[in-house]
Amino acid sequence: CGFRLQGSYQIPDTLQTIHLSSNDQYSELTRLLSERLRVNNVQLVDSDPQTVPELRLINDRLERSTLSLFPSGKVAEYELIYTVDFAVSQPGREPRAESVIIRRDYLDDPRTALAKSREMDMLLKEMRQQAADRIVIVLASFSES
Amino acid sequence: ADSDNHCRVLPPPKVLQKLEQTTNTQTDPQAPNSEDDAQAPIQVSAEKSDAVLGDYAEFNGNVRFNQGNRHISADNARVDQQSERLDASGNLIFADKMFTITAESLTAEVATNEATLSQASYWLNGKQIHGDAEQLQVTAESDLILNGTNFTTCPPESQSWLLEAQKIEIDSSEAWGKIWGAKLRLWDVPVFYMPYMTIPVSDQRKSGFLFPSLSTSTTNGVEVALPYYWNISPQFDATITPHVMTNRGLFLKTEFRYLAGEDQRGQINIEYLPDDRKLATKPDRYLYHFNHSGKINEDWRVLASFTDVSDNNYFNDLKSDVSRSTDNQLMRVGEVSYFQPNWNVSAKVQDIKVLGENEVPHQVMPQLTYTYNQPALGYGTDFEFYSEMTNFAHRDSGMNTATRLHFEPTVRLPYQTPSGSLIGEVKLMQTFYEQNDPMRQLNESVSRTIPQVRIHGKMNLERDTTWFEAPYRQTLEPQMQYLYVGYQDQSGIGLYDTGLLYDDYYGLFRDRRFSGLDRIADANQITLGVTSRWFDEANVEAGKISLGQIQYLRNSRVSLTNEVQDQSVSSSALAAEFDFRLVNDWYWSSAVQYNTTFRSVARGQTSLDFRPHTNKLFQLNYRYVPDIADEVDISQAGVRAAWPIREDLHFVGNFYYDMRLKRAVETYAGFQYESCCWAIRLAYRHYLKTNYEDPNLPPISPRETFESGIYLNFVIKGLGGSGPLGISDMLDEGLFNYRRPLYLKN
Amino acid sequence: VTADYLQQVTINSDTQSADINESLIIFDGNVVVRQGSMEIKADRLTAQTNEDKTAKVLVATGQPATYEQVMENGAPASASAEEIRYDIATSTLTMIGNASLEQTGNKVTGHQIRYNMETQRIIAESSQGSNDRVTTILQPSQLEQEQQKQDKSSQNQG
Repeated sequence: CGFRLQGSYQIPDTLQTIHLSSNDQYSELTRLLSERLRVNNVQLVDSDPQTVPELRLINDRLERSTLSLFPSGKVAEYELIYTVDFAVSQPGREPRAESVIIRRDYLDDPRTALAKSREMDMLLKEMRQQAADRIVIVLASFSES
Repeated sequence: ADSDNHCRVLPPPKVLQKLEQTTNTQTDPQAPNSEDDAQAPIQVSAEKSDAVLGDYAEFNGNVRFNQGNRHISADNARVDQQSERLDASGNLIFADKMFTITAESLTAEVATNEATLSQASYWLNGKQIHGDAEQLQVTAESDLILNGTNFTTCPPESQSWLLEAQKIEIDSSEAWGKIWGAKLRLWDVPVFYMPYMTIPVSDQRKSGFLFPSLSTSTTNGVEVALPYYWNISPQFDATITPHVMTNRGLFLKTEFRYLAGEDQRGQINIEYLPDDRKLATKPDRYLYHFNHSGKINEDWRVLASFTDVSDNNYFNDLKSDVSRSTDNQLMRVGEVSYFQPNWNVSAKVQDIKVLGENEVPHQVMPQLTYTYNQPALGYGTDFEFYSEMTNFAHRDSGMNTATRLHFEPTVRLPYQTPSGSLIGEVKLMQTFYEQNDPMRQLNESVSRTIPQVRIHGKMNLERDTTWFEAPYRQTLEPQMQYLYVGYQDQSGIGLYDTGLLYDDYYGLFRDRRFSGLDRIADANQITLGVTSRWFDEANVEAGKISLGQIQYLRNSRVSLTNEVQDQSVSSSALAAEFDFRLVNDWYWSSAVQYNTTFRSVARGQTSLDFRPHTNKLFQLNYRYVPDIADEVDISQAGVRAAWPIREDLHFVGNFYYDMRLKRAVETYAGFQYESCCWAIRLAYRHYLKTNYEDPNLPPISPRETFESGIYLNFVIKGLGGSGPLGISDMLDEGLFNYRRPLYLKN
Repeated sequence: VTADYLQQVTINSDTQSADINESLIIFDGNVVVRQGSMEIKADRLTAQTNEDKTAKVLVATGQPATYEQVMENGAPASASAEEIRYDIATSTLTMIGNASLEQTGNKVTGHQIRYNMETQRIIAESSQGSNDRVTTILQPSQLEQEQQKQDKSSQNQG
């Protein structure tokens, strides 16, 4: 059916070496993204952004909205929406702002509130991993030209 | 220029024309952004001048005075060089960077920016604010002080509202104006009088700030809210909102915001409604909330949040700034964490007050976690170590408490190439418990040692294909994971922070079935999954399908409730996810879990979106969740829409219908008409109310299950920039539209 | 030192001719008039004299005629116009035809400027009918110096 093994990483050569900056270098998203970039054969450098393309994590935010209700009106399912705003600036080119949105459903159960709070922490870690994967996919759309 | 410049308010053409002439005579215009106009040379042109050097200079006949960015045109003017004062009168026009003013007479300090004008009309440059004043003062910091004045943002030809005041102070840097003795006239009818009020003047419009808002609803009656903004200092500001409700009384909401250092910020909310007439015992209803978060320095992070309310139905009955009726869990948390490149330590205390629930969760008093990860340890392996010491306390002394110590070292060997990856992982989970159980059912001390092995393989295949005759690159990503987790009987361990995890496609590849640590489910299973994506020519993902299922080689014996598990099930539900950008601006996404053994849908949701523009949205969605939390079946259909009917008329609506109980769960329809200087929002809302029992607050009438209300919000517009108001406020209304921001753990 | 306008006036030029009955002396060709620190230069000068032969009114014309003088405060002033008319009795200088008068960065220009050296008063007017105007430029530093002078004087009084 015509499928062949993917020969090369999807990140264009112009972004093979990148300066990753964020307002909190210890944040988990920064750590996960740098690990994802390393796996995709991208070299992270700390030099100044003029000569090297810069991937800047601007901010990330977590929001919750209601998906469904119990007959009593209490909330049954929530949707967690994790948004990451980032910008890629290549020397001599306008910075291009992008954002990635990850949505996960989550069943609320007030009777096990502490367990649900632990589940939310776990979901946040997973959503950050997913966001890092999606950022790599978006980087692939930075064409060669 | 502003998008709808028909709203821009400019001084009359002849004033502008005269000003044009005045500025043209400025031979060498001072550098436009020179800070201090007072240092610029003064250029005056007139038909006649009469001066004694060093004493005075008089000018008559179409006088044009230019000093830096300050321009004055008058019939005659006199500069007194001793007192450095300029007096001018006769068809007087004064303009600087901030304001354009016409007046009868003017006195200005030549050495500073100060000026005083009488019988003036003024316009804020680039804004819609304009009006008249008996006396108008421009201070040295180029703020505006007006006495015996009025102002509006409406274009001169349609003066819908006018605010008259004894005194107005517009602080150009602070973006807020203070008004004393304010009388608002709507279409020339005096509507209300306020001894003191504040208005936003710059375009840093505080989101959600409606000024003033008027609404009616079945439970609260007529409601009038008038927010006051108080800018105490650059680091500290506050909004105080008195909110009158005819059925309840005066509800006062205050919110103090502060900045500490550059990277720390916090907020304190106090809300108070004395003697709520709607409830039998006329109780006082209050809320206090505090949160603080930020970076102390490069390595230290701090996060704290505390909320308490007077009764369980506080959020259901009152419109609080802190959260909405859908939140019934008040998080109380304090966390300090210290970070270094490879490791971090954090200490946390956490308690949760659940509204309307008689079960009270354990308190985490405290929890210390230490995480260490060393990517390339050797031979290409990564090493990770997670450890946690948690002390669970409980308010109810009859409940079990415990101290738990947990260690979790992991060694991972990742092998990654463009065409696939193979990851081997070995983990050991060692946990110690010291439990104190008044009911003597739990073991006093427990040691649990559980090994885990995980092998995850993934291949990346791709091909070029076409779809609707457009070229696409399609990928095929099959993945397989073997997971082995050892078994140990854990019935002697109490449940503190553990619950069943809600699963979806992504969850199939987890190594845990329960959250927290009190139950670690044994496993001997293989997870098979495949994802296919379509990328367009610009390499942007246009579509994605994911399918996955777990095959249990042996059923897991660990459960929350210690009964024997059903052994017959040999595989998990088949989880599938679809996400497609169809043809222009149509999007379809869906997620389904299909139980292969019972041939039934375990969970399903789908939504079809039409999103041609940021504030143009049309969505159809449906959710089906049979016996959720083994209580009830959810079958809910929804329609959401946000559409500009006309340039100045927006519609926002949503309708959610419970198919099983055959009733509308929420109906919201809002229309917003916007003219240049005011906007009116009419919304109808009928929604299912959450009502919690509250032992000490029996209401007067039995609590209605539904609440309906007509909301009429009159908004003064154009105070900040003159752009459209937008519909973000309306999109924030309603049970399902509202998106509550949560605090992000680092 | 005595004020300029009280000092003796000397005029010299390439040629000189007199018209006895009208008591008019005409000087032609790079005319230079001096009185103390004041100096007027012009292409042509006509001088009306009093009975006692002392100069009464001097009318200098040039492209332009120029005038320079050091004021009491030591600052030099200069002016130019198509015609500079100096009435010695009233010690008033009248400049006509794109006249301009400048002192320490402050400048006045216009069709006609009348400057009384005794009272230091300067009156500038535009020509009737035409839309030319009188422009004045005042340097802030001058105002500031006075500001400092006043501060100093008020300090030591305080």
